[in-house]
Amino acid sequence: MAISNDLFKGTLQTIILNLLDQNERMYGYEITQKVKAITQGELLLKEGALYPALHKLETEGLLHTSTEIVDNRVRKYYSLSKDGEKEMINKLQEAKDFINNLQLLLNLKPTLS
Amino acid sequence: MKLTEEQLAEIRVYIFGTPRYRETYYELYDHILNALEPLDEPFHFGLVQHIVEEDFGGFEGIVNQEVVYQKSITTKYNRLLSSEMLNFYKTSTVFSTIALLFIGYLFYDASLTSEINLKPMSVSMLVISMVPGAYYLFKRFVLDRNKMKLSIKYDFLHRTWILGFLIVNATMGLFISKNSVFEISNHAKVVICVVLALLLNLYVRSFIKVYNKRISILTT
Repeated sequence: MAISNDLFKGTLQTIILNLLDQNERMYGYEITQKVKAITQGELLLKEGALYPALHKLETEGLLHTSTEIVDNRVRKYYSLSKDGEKEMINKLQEAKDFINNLQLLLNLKPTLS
Repeated sequence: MKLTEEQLAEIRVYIFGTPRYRETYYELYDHILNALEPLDEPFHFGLVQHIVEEDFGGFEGIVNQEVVYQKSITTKYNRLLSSEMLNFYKTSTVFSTIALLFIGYLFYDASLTSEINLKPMSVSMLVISMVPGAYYLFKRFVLDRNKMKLSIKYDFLHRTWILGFLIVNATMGLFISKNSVFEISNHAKVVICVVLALLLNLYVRSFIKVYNKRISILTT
């Protein structure tokens, strides 16, 4: 069953930062394919959401960019900046806390009075 | 699939007109080719159209994304410029700032007892206010002369140099020049000139710093 993308909206930046932490540097298409592969196609990261998020992180100084000529075309790579590394740790912790709380909430059973 | 030179050219022509900036164009082109390469079917143009529609929400989506990106880039560089200007008291620049303040004071002091000819100062300020423009024009028409599209950073460079140049010119026209709009005393003109020279100095030095640190080294 495919997962609704709405559920991922709030965690898109965390996903990007975490992937870049694990992979040193990546380009846009590579990120979409990595997400697809990890989630076995359950989550399809749309480019319409990915690129604005990457650009936002870039302008916030959380990502560094570099370009390289690959197969006669310019490829833009994204990597974590020092601030990005710190932010990744914060966002990851935030996401973990959220998931824990969500689990608690979803496991709640109505009590009979 | 392996694309021929002709097919690649066809894709380039198809997308070339839409993105305004080369950063977007390069990223879009690379993305389309990356998306086409794993496909096993023979190339037909509908595939490219499908990728643009499906992945980016069509050309409209690309343009909208680009506008947001451009605004955030300009805001980022404006912030960098402001923070550089506010760093005038830092060790590396504090001595030149103090020297300038002292020169400014000497001008002010001299104006209390004698008439000062402001023309050389006004002319030099006009020339200095064109320095950011020279950087911008050099980058755009000399360093990047072979680039097909504008860089997204040009908006910041363009707006910033025009704004600085306009402020200096407007101040001259309103208060300093011979036929200025407002008639003020020569002493007041000296004060305005000295303050303007100090601010201009800070602005031009900050602009050059931001340019050297963040703009000239960018590879795209």
